[in-house]
Amino acid sequence: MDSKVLAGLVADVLKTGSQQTLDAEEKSRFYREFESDLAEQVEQMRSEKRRAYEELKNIAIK
Amino acid sequence: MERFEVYRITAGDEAELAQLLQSLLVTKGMKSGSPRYTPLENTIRHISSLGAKSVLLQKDVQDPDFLAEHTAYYSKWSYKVPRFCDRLHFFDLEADSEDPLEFIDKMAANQDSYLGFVTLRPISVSPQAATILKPPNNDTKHFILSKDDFQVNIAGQRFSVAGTPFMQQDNAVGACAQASIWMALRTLRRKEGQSAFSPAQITTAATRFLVRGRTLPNRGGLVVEQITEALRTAGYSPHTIPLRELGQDATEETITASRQALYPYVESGIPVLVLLFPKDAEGHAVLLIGHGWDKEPASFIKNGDIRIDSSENPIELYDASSWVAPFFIHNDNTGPYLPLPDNMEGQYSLGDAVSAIPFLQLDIFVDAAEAKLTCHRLLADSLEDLNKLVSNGGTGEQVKEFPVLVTRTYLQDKSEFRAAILSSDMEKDAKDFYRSKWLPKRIWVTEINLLDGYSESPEGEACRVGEILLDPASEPEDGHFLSIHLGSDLLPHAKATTGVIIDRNAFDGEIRAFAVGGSRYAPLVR
Repeated sequence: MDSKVLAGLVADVLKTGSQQTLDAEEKSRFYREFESDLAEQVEQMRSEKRRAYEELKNIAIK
Repeated sequence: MERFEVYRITAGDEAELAQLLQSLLVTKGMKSGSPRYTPLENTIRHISSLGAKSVLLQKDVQDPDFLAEHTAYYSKWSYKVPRFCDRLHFFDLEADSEDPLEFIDKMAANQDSYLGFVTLRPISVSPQAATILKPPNNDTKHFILSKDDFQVNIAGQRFSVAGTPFMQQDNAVGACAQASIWMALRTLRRKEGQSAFSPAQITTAATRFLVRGRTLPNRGGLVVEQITEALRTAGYSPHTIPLRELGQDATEETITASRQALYPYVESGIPVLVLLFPKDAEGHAVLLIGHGWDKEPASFIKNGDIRIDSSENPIELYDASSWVAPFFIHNDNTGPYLPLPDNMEGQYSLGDAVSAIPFLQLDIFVDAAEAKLTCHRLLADSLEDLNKLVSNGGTGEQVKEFPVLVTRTYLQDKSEFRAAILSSDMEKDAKDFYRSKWLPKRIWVTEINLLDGYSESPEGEACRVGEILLDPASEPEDGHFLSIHLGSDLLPHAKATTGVIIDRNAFDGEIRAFAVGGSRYAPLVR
């Protein structure tokens, strides 16, 4: 399995001591993997908020 | 009749102060119902604890909020309800003159002596109107973060008080939700440039499209949907956070989760409307405005973990909310600057919280929970298997032990962030980066701190070893971070003085990384 793009970038800076820039392919991989890692969890959180709001929205606060 | 009167009181003598206020309470006006003096009693206790030694009574004040309440409701009465209020100003200097103007001039020359004011409405059942007082003394135990500076003009002299506005519901034009929303909008008016509605305007905004009975008198309160509508109309995001299932008993887990969910907003200075549903009681709204500090929490709240090598032992991350207890609230039916205990029978407590609504700006698309999730993922992605990656090439440095960490997430204005960085002990090259990097108006900051010494944060003894900045005007899964700063403590193979910044260009998404000084510095203390 490939290492994480950001960790690879940090490792390259530590090894060379010089500035490193992600090329187009690595950059694209970072955004793709990040979305893949987080999208489902974020949607679950938002879905839970929507469900909880629907349950509560008609309750009176005095 | 004199417009001003001066009173001397004994510092710390609550009974004397209470007697003075009782003598001033107006007994005319609406007389139905039992008087609700609890907020005023707790306010007196607070003023007394601030060391008040003199009081200036200002009569016939045209308080804009009560005038709006009067216009909307009390002016319709056949009974003549007065339009004007009394206002009491408090000072911690003794009055050496009974001449009001001499007294005002002397106090103006000692600006720090001003403790704030309490407005008394001519409504006997709920007398306490607009109130702004200094927060409790003792800064290391009380962090009242939702506050602002308010100018007060008295007889040509200008005074200033930093505090959180408070008022008691009048139980006719507005109930607890309106009172809490008013407090939040008043607090944010100058900072956010948004509307500060009167309680009457809040009721109008809440009931404009969603009517569930008579809007005036509004003794039935508001439903949650009306509250979110009022916030939206006032220019804030109607964003609700679930904390506990309605009907589910509060447990240690739900209380811990509530503290975790609420703390980032409190630390950001964002007031939060917390909806409490005590067992067998009606729903009630309070305003969360600050927190205390528990130096020795019974346990630490985990924030997940990260792996810097393939060993079985991940690095543990703890949540900064572990040290936050209790929260402080303004509760319109009990008083200002009161602690909200975790769980206490017969008293409103954090365990009663079912939902919360932070006064989040409309341009913040990533909420606190999403910001935390995103920043922790970015931290993990920046360090995952770093040992293996670096040792393949080798840096020649001795591998250091990886520390246990505490993360703390808050929303901060870029100008405040830059000012804090500039005055910190951060290395110059890292400071220069932050000073010149383009940043949006507001940013989510996730501080990375060492667990070792974190309990001494209020004294400035804790060590911050990095931070992640996230663009709040984005989607969490898009990875739109602004920068990731990793100090040498986070880089086991780096020299003790070497850190790394990963910089993402907010406009084109380009990502670069470079070495900077990697020393430790202190976390933000507000």
